[in-house]
Amino acid sequence: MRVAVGLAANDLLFPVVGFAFLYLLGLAASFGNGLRLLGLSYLTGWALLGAALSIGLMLGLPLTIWSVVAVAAALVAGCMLGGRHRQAPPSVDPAPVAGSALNRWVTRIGAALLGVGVLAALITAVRGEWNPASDYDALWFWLPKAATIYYAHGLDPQLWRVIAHLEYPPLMPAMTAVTFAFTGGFHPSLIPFQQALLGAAFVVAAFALLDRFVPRWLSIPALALLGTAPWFWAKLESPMPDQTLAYLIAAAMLTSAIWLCEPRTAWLGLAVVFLAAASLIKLEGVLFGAALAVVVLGAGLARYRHAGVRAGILLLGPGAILLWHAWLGWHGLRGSSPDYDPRESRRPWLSRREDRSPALLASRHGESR
Amino acid sequence: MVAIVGGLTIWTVARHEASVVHAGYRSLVGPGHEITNSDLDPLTYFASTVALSGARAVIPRDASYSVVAGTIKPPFSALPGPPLNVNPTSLKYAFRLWLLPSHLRSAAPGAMGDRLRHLPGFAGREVHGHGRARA
Repeated sequence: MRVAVGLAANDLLFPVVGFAFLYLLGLAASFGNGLRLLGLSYLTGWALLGAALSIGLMLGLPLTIWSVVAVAAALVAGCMLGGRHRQAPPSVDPAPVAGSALNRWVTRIGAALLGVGVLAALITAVRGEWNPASDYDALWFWLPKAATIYYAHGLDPQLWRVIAHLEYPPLMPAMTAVTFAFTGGFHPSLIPFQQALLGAAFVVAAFALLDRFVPRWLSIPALALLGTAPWFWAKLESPMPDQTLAYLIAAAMLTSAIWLCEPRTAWLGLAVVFLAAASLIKLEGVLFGAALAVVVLGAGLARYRHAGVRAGILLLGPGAILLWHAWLGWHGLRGSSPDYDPRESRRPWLSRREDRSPALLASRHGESR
Repeated sequence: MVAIVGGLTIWTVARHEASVVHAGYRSLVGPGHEITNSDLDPLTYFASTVALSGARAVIPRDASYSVVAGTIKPPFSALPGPPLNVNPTSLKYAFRLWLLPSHLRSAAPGAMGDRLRHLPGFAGREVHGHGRARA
């Protein structure tokens, strides 16, 4: 019972925080009052609370149920107060396009398939178990990191030091530890459900964002195709952060693309949150986020001239990683993995892993000539 | 245009959906799991759950322990079930994850394994700390 109540309370925090942030940006009214708003609020709240808790942990915040609730309450209060004093008018949805009977049938069939797929995913996640054989890195370091945060009630440099890939930022372990705290124990079997729920929220959020410009007969079957694609499905419940990173980068890309069509800074604000979370979830997120920021900045300058400079705030997202490097440096921990050091390329085991580092590939290519 | 794109997309989704629905249905009608079992069972891929739960019962929280693995493949690896990926590294990771926040320390080379692996029935793994559990 404690587990179910704790899990429900944990999962309720995300849409509440996300809705408050969308309200602050003046975007909440753009997505109706139904499923679209819920999905986008959940994904936004997960990203915002995750980034806030990660930064809080670096600053010494203890991780307990009450500290998480306090951070969430502070975010909600700040966003609601800020939203009430906002001067800008709420955005207006593009007028819906009247579809033909065929469009409506394609939309309905796509929505039915998408709904069944999401339901099946959630049932599988609730009734299934986590799989360390396919998610070996979860056994190796992602779950141990979450367990150390849970047991130490925060980031303990001494415990962090002995786990592999200490250079990876703490958002994913922190959010996993939040689930452990709310459910009252180290329960890795609950993480597949949390991940499947986040995946479902991403699909709905993507629909909410696409719905502004893409006809539903196209967007809904396409999202159903994504949701049931073998690779997406196989990684939907994974306790590792790779698919979550893809959600965050994709959401940031969609919101940035909307800004290129609707020049409201609020869209950039939403993208910054997704990019900050992406950067704090895995180092690869910094590269993807920075690349997206540069592309959107270039496109913004081309489209809006001087006003396009505003896209530069997207760099705040990947910039969040600087706090993590400061924390690592403060505690004397290294900020990168020796796996990617070209000097390590002579080690025999690395000769089988050249695909993981362009630098290694280049250095070995140079040797062979 | 709508008919071609929509039809092809829906046809592809429907093909994938069959396996997705099958997985969901199989989960729905399958036996339920106690949460503690669901937490521990997946580690069967790498270590004996009897040894893991036994180690957690005897090694106090925050104590230090070490994992020593022998070289003989466990005889139960031929039994039905998930394929055991028994090697000293994954064995160590499984114990470390399950026994947190106790501290895993490196064992002296050959400390226990060299002696124990000659015992009849030794499954190639041992945990020792303040207490001992054996697979």
